[in-house]
Amino acid sequence: MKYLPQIIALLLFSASFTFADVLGGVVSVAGEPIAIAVNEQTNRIYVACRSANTVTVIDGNTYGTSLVPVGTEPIAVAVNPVTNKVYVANYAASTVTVIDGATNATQTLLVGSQPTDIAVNTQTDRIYVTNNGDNANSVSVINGITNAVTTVSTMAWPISIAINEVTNKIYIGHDSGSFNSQVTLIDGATNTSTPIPIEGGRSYGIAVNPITNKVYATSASTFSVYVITEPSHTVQTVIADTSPRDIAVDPVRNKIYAINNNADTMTVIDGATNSTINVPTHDSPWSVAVNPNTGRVYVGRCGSPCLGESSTIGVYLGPLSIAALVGQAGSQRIAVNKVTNRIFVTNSLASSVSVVNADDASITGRVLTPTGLGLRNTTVVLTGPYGIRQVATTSSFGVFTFTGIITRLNYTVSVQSKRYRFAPQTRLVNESITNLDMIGLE
Amino acid sequence: MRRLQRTDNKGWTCFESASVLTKASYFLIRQNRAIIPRMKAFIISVLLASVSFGATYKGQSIDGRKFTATTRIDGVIEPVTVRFDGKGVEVWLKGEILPMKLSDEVIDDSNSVTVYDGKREFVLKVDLE
Repeated sequence: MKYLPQIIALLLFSASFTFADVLGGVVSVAGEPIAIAVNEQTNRIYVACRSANTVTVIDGNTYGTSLVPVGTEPIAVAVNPVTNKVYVANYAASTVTVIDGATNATQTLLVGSQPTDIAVNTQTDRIYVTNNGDNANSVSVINGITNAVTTVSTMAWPISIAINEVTNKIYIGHDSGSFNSQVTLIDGATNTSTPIPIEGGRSYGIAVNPITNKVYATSASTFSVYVITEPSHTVQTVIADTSPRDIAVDPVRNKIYAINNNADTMTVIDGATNSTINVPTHDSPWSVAVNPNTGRVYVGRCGSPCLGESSTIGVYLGPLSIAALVGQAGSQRIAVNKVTNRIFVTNSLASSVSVVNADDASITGRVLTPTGLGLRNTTVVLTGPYGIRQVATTSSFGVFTFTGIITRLNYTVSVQSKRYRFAPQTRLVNESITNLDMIGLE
Repeated sequence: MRRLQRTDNKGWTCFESASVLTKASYFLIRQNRAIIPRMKAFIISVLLASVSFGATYKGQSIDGRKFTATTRIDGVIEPVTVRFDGKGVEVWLKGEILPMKLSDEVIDDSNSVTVYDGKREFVLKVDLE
């Protein structure tokens, strides 16, 4: 019975990791959700469900859902919040379904063979689709006003898209060849394409920092990230880790995050110096998304097809910290609603979407003498997992505050005092705590 | 080792310290210069044999095309799509792409094609016929 308190604490800790507590909710969707996009203007979330041939529309306010039938094997989705149109790439049908966000009415457009990725330039209202079928070697460009489709030739096997809306340039990653590949640059004004040679192929991830006008393309064959400085097309090689694939940019902090699936790491690139650090993640990281408003980075896991059932969502907190939240089974794609600070994660095997409330919490309390008087100028220390540590000093009334605390983790508050002895208090922080009083024992 | 270089009356150079095999080759070549083209062809064929030509099936290259296939995962037969690319192979499974490697680029049995990466291994039944 000596360890009863610890056992109880452990049980409480474990019990807290139910979906409702941890993630703020799970929304059931149709079969195999595999792609997700958010319209921050309407607070609607669009989830492409591959085996159900549908898009599930989630109302971000009520979490009610509606189904929109689309083409066969939808595997990519993009939103134009300006026009409130949603574009769905249907891999097996070689079509794009256009959903009117106001009415959920659809229109089907024929594009190239086996579309894999789709992206919207909201400034020009053009939509770009990579056609990955045998001998397709092209990108389809949809005029968002007329729905007319034109085709731009590219190198073989286009696979990923990034758009710089400031310069109206579109960058295409390819998965052809292990070496001597290229990024295709499409001029959005003329639809002309220019190859930018890079050493490695299999660029599953490509991203743009519109502020620095740099493009970042992963190569799963050379384990590198290629940094293309525009408009000169100068290419620099940054060594990542084994099998980098998804990549995301935080333009506010000029940081780039590349996920290394086979290494279980994330390469963090300093955009100013191209210096890197490799941060350990959970097993089989698969996708990454950034909330530039908060600087938080979210890492999804590959369940199936990566031969694993349980899933986790990693949260990158800053220099070397990763927290793991429990998700549901299946490969995960992540979308961020910066307005509501909610994170949406697909769980492909569980046919669900996890909703993460990413709001920070705070802890406020008082340090009191055994007689109940506030103890001023006293040091209070907050410690958490992954090396999290904050220090505060009490006010003249003994009040202390810690802010910017990520929720759903256990934290310990302790007091450093020469006059009194204080028992540390450990709490699971699911929301802000306002009256954590630390009372001296003697 | 002492290496004494000398030139014979036909202008060929040899080293006294050369091995018996080298000396034998030297005299063989010296006696019959016509063997040189045949030796070149032999060396080139050996080099070519060691160079990868990518995935082949029944002597035909199967690189750069997508094929349908199946694999068994946790007892369940899953449909996949594969595209061969030299030693590499792209496996499309449940809408996701996995870059993997072929255990053997020369495929003899299309019903048992082993691919792997650092974490996983699939035995594919590929529709190559």
